[in-house]
Amino acid sequence: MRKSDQYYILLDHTADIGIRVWGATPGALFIHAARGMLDIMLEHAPSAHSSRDRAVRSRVTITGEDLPHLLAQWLRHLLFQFDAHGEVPIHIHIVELSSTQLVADVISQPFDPAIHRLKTELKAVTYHQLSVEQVAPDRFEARIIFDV
Amino acid sequence: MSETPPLEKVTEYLYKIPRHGGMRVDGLVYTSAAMLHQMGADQALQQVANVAHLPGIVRASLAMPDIHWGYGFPIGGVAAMDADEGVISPGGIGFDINCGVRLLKTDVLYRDVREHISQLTDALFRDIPTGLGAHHRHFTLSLDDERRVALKGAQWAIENGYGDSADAAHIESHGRIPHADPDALTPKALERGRRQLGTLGSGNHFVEIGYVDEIYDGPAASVMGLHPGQLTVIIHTGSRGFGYQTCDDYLELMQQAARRYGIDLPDRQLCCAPIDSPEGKRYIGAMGAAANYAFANRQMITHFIREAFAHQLRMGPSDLGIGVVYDVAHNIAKFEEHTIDGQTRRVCVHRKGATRAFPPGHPEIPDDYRAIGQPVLIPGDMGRYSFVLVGQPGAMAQTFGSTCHGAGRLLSRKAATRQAKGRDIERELAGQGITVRGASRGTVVEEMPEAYKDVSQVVDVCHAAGISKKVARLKPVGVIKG
Repeated sequence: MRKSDQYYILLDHTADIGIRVWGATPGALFIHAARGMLDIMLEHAPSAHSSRDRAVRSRVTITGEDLPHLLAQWLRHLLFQFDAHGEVPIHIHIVELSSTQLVADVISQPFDPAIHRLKTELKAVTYHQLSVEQVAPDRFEARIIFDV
Repeated sequence: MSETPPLEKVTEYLYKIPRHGGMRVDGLVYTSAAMLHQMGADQALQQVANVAHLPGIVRASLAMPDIHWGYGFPIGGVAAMDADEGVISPGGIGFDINCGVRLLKTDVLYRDVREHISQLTDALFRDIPTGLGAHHRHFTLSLDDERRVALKGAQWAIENGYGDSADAAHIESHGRIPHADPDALTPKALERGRRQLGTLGSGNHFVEIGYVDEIYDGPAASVMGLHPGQLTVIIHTGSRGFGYQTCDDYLELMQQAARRYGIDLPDRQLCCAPIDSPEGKRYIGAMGAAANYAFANRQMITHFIREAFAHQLRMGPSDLGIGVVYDVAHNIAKFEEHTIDGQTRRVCVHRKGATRAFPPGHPEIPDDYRAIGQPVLIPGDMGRYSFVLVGQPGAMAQTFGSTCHGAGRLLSRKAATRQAKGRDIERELAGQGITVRGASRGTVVEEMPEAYKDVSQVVDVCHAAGISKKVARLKPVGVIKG
């Protein structure tokens, strides 16, 4: 990935895996966090340009107590859909985002061993060191640790 | 609180975190000076102190020698809560409820099948489903069957043709937690677990072909049916997404419950509810159900191993003689009776990355093992060795009948990946006579031997502290990973 394309870095953590992720807006942050998580799990994180064969669109509404909780719930939802149903998100559009509610359109395709290769299996999204902060007018950062 | 708490040396193998601040009891850490030094900036010791804040905790917040940082509770943590006044905390069990280890023995000698190990490993890799995305068959449970699995555990698997009834006697709790409550399961846990029964999973899960390399206690080994040079198989896996989702969903509920019951926590990840509360009872029922899923899982994988061996080695079941030595849980909470200050009390023992280790004579040990103590199975990394131990009286006296569970990581996954750059880990291990097959790219690298501590150090501390006794050492020759 070109440095200018980079939107997360892996965090060093003995037993588990974490990311520090950023975006120009909260919406971009939430999309980048999803893509970062997917990137940890799959060999080739699919992009919007990948084939839309057998793709399914769904509108998702997530609620949370505050922005960090909302981010955790969002990622938790995506991890569940992936692990329970083999759904790999290939495009995400944020319809609405406040500090307690997210509405997103998610286009997913079924996991396909011909396209996707498992890298690291994630068990869960944790609250450990979970944070979401605005560090500059056009930069929002988050930190999330996943249980491996 | 995030600095390292004060530590006092009690013996060569025991350190104390004296009660201070909001701690209700002391912290007691089984470790050696060398391993303490290795702990570095890991906040595990602070976590031991944090656990000591929990209401109803009895005697001490304990840590085994393989301690490292975990979610709320440290991994390698043991905490007994009064069954009436204490709390139950999902973080004290872990996401992978009843992650555990099963040891299979065979009537085959390693030297007689040495040149077949590579094909045997390939056969296991082919025939044992690892999970999502792998090319195997998997089957989807009906909701009714899933609830039956949740209720009956390994016995469900045996009744459905996966293994022999004789297997159950050598499983902790006979492979079935009696208080499991399928009605306490969340819809998402049921959904996530429908297609994952009979799969290994990834991360640090594995199936490992090995052989008995050294015997430390001849009579105990003989009772277990272990002898030098014997081919063995270790299974390390748990309750898969069924368990992870159960923990996840109950952590959310427990956050709210802890607030509602006014439980003051130094770390929100220690969220809990009184054992004797609706939330507590529901989690206990769901945890039991997830534990049963894991027992059924290891039972099914045992069956796949028996089939793969029979097919590959062209031997019938009686010649192969694949039997269960024992099966232990190392992420679970159990209701047990323990003697505390001369009185027998019922407690809920949380073991997260810790194994039950009952001593000789304990009624819960299978009849044929009662004289030697409960077998304890301690897997190491894929390059070195694993150990079989037995529980000792010291465990009942000191650690609520508990001991360590494994090696513990030394390197982060990122550091392991960095260290493995330009190397072919599978080829390196092949050069040492160990065949490795992994389904996911990252995992073999992240799980390479040098990413882990030396498990013999962990086992030696437990042995020296008198909480469990070494019986045998096993060496790996073929490993499959998800």
